[in-house]
Amino acid sequence: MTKTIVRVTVLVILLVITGGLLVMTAVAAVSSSSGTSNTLAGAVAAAQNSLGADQVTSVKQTGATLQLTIASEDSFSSAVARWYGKILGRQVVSQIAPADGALPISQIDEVDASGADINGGPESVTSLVRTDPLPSGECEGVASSNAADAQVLVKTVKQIEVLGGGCIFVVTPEIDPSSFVSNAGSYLGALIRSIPDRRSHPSLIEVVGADNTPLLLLGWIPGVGGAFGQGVAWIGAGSQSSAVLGTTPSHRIGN
Amino acid sequence: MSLRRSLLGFLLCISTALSCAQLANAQNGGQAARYTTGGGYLGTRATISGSGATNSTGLVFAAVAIQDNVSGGTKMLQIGELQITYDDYANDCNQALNVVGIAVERTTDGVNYTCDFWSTADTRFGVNHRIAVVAPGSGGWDAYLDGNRLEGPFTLGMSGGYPIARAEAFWTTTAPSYNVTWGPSGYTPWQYTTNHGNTYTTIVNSGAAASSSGWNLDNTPSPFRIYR
Repeated sequence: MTKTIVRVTVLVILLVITGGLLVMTAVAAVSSSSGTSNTLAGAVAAAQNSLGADQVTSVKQTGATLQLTIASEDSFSSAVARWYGKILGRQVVSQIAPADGALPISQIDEVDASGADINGGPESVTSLVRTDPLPSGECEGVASSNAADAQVLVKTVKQIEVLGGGCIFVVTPEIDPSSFVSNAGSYLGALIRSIPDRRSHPSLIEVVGADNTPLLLLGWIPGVGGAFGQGVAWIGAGSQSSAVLGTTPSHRIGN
Repeated sequence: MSLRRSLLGFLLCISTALSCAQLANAQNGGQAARYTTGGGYLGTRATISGSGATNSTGLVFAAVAIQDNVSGGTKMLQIGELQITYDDYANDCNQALNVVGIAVERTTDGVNYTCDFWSTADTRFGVNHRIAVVAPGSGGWDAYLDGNRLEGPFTLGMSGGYPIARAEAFWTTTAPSYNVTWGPSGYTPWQYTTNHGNTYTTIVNSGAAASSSGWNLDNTPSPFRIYR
């Protein structure tokens, strides 16, 4: 009886070891076939280089969570950095994902320099919808075509190449800033309406005053949060905007 | 030829002027809500049904929420049905696309908002989905759709809050026909929980608020409508 138990135990251990080796072999095979960015460090470096941004100061993987440390100078720049962080994180996940679509990293989390969570907790990595890359110059074209209808002066336009390509706009309202923010849903919608397949591409709109005072931020990150993706917004404390659910026009009801 | 060019130019001017005039129109809309008269609750839920956005150019939203205050709060988690009927309308939950879906929005500071957008099998608005925000005993806050946890737990920095039944609508040209019921007969009423969702109690007493004219709110308990 004792011998039988020992034999069964040994057999189970051997099976576990064999299974583990098979998994490790599979991971190694995937890694070697997915290009130069197949390590975490390589993928982070490539994404940082492509984004041309330094808002993410460190990236590490803990279990199934990719944790990003976000630089933070002030509230608005932190919001911008958080968008960059999520874009970078999602790009990294897409670069080191196994070819069969199974994601070894299932969550992305952002923390500040002290390690404190700034996002309410980790967020799920969701599927990316395959889409055609944005053609070169697409964001410039979108901005020039729609700025007038959007009632904005476009200060800068940047096109990023990660996640199928995305647009980053910095704009200044050409109408009263408070009126613009209050009604931003239609103005910012007019600005981005001609981005092709826009729910599958990242976007970031920074709305600043003529003196560069932050007024509003609206961003989109595909492949994070919901099945359709995730939107992020920054709005000045107590302000209201039709571009941010729950804030308008009587912030958080009851005044 | 010259006459044709003049006519074309004239028509373009009219077209452009109309387009600009539409955008220049003051945007309409706002929100209305029922809220509990006290806080500290650990969750809220309701089935919602109804209609909205007929002939509209904007969005309609019907949600339940937990927030830290009903006046100037800064922490919130809400889940609701969102319908956008205008491709030129962007917000933190969607990218200016004509669509119906489930939005889960949260904020921990009243400044940064995060909104996840989900599809549903039935893409119609107001078809008896049960939505809930609950604090599980293990910490944080979860968003539920039809009895299944959709997202969470999120650490919002509040241990309890005010249950909210929230309606929102915005439009640029034509107002929607918003008519939504929280807790229609035969379905889950608008309720709160004080024990992490183990049991729920139907909310009878509530306050009402509307941020703009045109909103009508029936009295609680469910079924009650918010409509315009």
